[in-house]
Amino acid sequence: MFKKIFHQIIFLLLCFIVCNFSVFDAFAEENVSKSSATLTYYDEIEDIDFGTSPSIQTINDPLEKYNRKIFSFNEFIDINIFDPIAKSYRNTIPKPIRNSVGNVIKNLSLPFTCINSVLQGNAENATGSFSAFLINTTLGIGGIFDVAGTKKVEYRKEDFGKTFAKYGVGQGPYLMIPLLGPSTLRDFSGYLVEKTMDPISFNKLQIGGKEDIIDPSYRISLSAISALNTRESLIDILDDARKDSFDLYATIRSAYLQRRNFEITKQ
Amino acid sequence: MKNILRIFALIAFLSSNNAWADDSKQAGEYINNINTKIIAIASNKNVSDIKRRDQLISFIDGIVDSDWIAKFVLAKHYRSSTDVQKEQFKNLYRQFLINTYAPKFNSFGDQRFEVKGVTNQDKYYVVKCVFYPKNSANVLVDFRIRKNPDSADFKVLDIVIEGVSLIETQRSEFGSAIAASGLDKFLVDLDERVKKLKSAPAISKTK
Repeated sequence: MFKKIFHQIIFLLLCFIVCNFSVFDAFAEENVSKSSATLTYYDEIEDIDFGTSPSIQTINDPLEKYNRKIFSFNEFIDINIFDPIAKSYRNTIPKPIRNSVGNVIKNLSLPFTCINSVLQGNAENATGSFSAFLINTTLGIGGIFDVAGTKKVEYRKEDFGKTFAKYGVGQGPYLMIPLLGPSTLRDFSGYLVEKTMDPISFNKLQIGGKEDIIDPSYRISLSAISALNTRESLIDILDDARKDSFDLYATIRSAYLQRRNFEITKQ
Repeated sequence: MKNILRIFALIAFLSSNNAWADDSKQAGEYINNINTKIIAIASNKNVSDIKRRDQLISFIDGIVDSDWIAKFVLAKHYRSSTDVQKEQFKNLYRQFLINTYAPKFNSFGDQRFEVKGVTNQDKYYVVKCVFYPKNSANVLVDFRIRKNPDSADFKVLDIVIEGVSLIETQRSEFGSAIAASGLDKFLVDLDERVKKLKSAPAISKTK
């Protein structure tokens, strides 16, 4: 009963978010400083007229007040729970085993990279990711070994957020998601679409004939391992940012938006 | 007469292209040399950690245009600040920049790198590099540089790692911090940070 209600809430939330893209984008226009052209990236500094120069990075954060509260909550949880667990994981589990865990998690995401590559019309990346999935699942024993990587099978990770961007959907406002961290309306919508479709998550498409093709306890374990693997990979970056930054929220926001923009535009 | 003008125009065009090609080549060589030097310092096991840290700080201090970067990161607050504040910020920022980031290059000792190309953006050059760490994925690093108008030497203005610009991130971070508590308070915080950084022990390599 609870699960059904939860799934319906997720579905309604998704519909709400997707339907409101245009509204959010219109709202965003008022809060965005437009990016200057690449060629003049540094030129504006020459006249030192910063008061009238446009901001170089596009920061669209109309919900900053609320985002900062969520960020403080996330920081509290991370510093007291996630960070110590991730460091214990790094210090106690040998690197080859951690690499294998990371390989399995990466392998499980490859079908979505393939689907998104097809949706983006990128046949080369679709082929690469599909080949890597086949090779690693079979020769790599369920993805434990990255055989495709050693054979130089190349692909780039894709997700629904990037696919939405390819179809011209604006990034929408910056969001800080409880427990998950930085995102944008577009990226978070992509994340929900993936989780809704994912056979080892909510599986709303009923791949395999039913929604619960794996036991819920395995699903939770897998999510926890995936989160642990991601958090472990961020230990050094986050430690440095916490030590160096004068405003960690602004640092993470700027870095996240630049990184996503780079991933979307670098092709 | 028209033909002579055309020939002159062609020569001028070819000359400018050659000059650009020379500068691009020099820009690539410059980044190649500084990366080689950083790796040489970071992998020198014959000196103490503290000495190596000092060498990295000194080297980075010599290759970055910290005054230019200071203006860039302070952005609109630069214009509204007094001359005293400007000078104070430039001095503190230089210390902050080199003492924060130079020691991080200590982990570059076991890395290989390759210059993949140079693009010209008006007065600026973007030198695209790939670093090949031993135990992790390749890292794309762009160095944005320009010729110093006074000395004709190149100076580094920005390092962009996997699409994340150091100075752009700092511009956003500093702007937010100054908006929250004002420039004077920020200068006090920056001063405290610099003192702390200077007294910090040598940084060990990341895992």
